[in-house]
Amino acid sequence: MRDMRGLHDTFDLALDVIVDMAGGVNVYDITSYHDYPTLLLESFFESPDIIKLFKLNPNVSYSAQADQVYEHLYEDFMQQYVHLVEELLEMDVNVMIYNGQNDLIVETPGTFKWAELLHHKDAQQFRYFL
Amino acid sequence: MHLQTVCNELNLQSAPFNHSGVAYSGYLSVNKAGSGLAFIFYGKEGAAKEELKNYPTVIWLNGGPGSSSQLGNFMELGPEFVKPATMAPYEIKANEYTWVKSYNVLFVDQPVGTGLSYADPNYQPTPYCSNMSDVANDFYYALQELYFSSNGCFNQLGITGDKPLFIFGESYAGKYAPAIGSKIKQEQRDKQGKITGLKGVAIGDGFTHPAFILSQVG
Repeated sequence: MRDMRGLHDTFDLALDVIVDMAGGVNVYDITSYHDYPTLLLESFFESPDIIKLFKLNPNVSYSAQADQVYEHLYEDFMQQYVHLVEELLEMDVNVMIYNGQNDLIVETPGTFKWAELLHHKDAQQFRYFL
Repeated sequence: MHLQTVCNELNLQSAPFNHSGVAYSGYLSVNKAGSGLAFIFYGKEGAAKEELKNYPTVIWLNGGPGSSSQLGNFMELGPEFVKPATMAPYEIKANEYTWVKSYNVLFVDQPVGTGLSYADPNYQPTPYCSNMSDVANDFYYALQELYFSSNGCFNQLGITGDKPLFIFGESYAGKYAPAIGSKIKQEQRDKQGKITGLKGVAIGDGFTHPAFILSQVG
């Protein structure tokens, strides 16, 4: 049994070090040193006018990032689910895999790596580097 | 609090939204006491309510885990962006590249407890999801509410289960999207599930295989 909690801890630690050494780079866009203004949406959804306009339940408080949800998936975090993509292909669902070039966490070479190792009947056509 | 499946038509036509299409919000039961998934749905721009069923529908999911899909709506691909402003907390600006120009787009906050959705603590042992089969089961339940419940928006709009459906997942949703997609297809194949229109699943910057992805950092 793998230590999925420990793996996630290590991931967090490694990412912290990289971001720190890179001067606080935006992990989704390495050309930027500004984080995305996600907190804006919290003030947006706190506004009584917006709650009314969007007919939201005023008793549900909005969070752009829900910590409880994150914590309950903490051990799932490092789990891989490539087999689900293979199942889709087997059941004739089209799958598109795309990647931005500036992402630090999910970088393009890593996406190539799992995409090229997918098992499916047309796999050979997609193996550029293997 | 007990959220039930509901479909609310919105009027976003006046300033600052100036939205040129139909829009809905609502909640979808996931059968975990009062827990519910919240959504905001835009019909294809310029199309009347009765015409929406003639256009493909895209479901957009952000990742996290725990990131609201309203980030996708108001900062990535929705019709109106929420942007930083100097004299106000934020400003609303039209997004000329919105996907809503061509498709119906549904932004769902999931799993329960994310964004505008609600996790009912009365549900034992926990309303929260701890793996992708939890996520897929809840989402499938919610989708059935959307398509087949009398209070479901898709039911009311005549968007039936056989209409073309695409699921997009970004980042951690590179796990959610294939989990939900394969659940839909399995239900269709093994249990006569009536959501039969799933045409594609898209994964953008997906955290689908963490170890392989991270092995290439640096």
